[in-house]
Amino acid sequence: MSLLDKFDEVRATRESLGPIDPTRVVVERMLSATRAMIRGRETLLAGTNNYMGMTMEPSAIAAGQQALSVAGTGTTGSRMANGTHEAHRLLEAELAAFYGYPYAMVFTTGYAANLGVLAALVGPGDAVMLDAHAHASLHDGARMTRADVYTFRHNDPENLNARLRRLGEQAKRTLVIVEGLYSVTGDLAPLAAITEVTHQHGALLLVDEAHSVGVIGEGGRGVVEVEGVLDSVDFVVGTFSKAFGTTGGFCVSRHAELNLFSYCSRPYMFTASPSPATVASTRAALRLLRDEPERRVRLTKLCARLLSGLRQLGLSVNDMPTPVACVELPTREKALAAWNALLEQGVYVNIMLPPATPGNASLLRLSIGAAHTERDVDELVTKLGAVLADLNA
Amino acid sequence: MTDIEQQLSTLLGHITELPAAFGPDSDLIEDLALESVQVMEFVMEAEDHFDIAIAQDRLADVRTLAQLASVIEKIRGG
Repeated sequence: MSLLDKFDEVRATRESLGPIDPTRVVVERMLSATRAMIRGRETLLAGTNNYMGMTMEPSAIAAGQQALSVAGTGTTGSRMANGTHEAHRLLEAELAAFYGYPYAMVFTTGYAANLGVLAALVGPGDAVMLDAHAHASLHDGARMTRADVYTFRHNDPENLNARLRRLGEQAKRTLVIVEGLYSVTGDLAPLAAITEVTHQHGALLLVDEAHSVGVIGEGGRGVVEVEGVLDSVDFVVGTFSKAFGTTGGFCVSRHAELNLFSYCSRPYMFTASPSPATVASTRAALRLLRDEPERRVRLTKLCARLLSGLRQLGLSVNDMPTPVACVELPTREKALAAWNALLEQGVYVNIMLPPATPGNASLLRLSIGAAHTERDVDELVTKLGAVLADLNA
Repeated sequence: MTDIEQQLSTLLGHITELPAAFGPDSDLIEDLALESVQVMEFVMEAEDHFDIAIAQDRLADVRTLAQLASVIEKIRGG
């Protein structure tokens, strides 16, 4: 058996995906923050993470253009070498102030932030306790650390309590990891209860707010704000590639040790730092997320409209209006058929297939953003309803 | 089957349908075609049932019910 034989299975899986491979969709041209040309057709984008419509925000674009002309196309170096510009430091200070924490650290991607923070925080002899639905980057980061890795039942503080109890003394050397808003199902973590249980056992808590920073909470500080635990969580990580509309990742904390992570975090050390244009656009987006809460009010109304529409279709949805909703289909084949039919009708959504889904379900993931209109939401619901009706006919 | 294997078999039956030929040495992945999410769910069921913690790296070489039972026995035996 050669190294290449394993790709026979990959090839077979790919061929089972139907006429259009959902992983190979090409956006031929962006028309706005919410519409693009795909397969030669104007398409409503209802499967991106552009929750606040920041990708086309004029001030963020202008800031990036200005930085590009002044500071160049890239830094060509790690933050530990020549890759720290004044703008990186300013972004960190602004992020820390946004959360009201003393310390912040910026990474090149959200994935690197998760890997980098875990690599610095835990090692052999320590433990990581992950929510069962936590993102792949958190599982990857946990495995990299050589710590003992455990999982607890999704959003279940009682189960977390039982599992930390079983660890005995090791609980004090345990990092509990949860997400604020779960990116596939759109549900929120019960952070108040999880924080209390974690600290009862002497463990530390890391919350990944990738899909909630800038989106959830009156001040846009995510589920930690909504749940009233800003003062007690230990580490918050997030990404700029969703609400901020750029790329990059961060960690903020009330612990001074965060300032020492750079010395023991290989994913931080051995990557070129974010480009000047990316940092400038991110800073501009942060200002808007901080100073214009009305954007979140508008998004919340659109989310409520989406959930109401989905309920009218007879679909089961979350109670809390978040920009992510998922529709479960009975089989993988039906999910693929629905996804293809929606794209043919000019609506792009995400498709999630087993084994990468909670409960092994076949899901369509819908997401909307502040740049969508009420008509966009109605179009999404109407076309989804028609496609599902056709499938059930 | 040992007592632990019997209990694990019952737990596994809650997650997937067990074929008549299923035994303690059946391969969980090859014979039952369990997906990784189902394996994680099964391990969590076992942890809660036996009130123990099983670190993921202890499962690296586990392919069968008998092998999982052996890991559990070692953890319970300290």
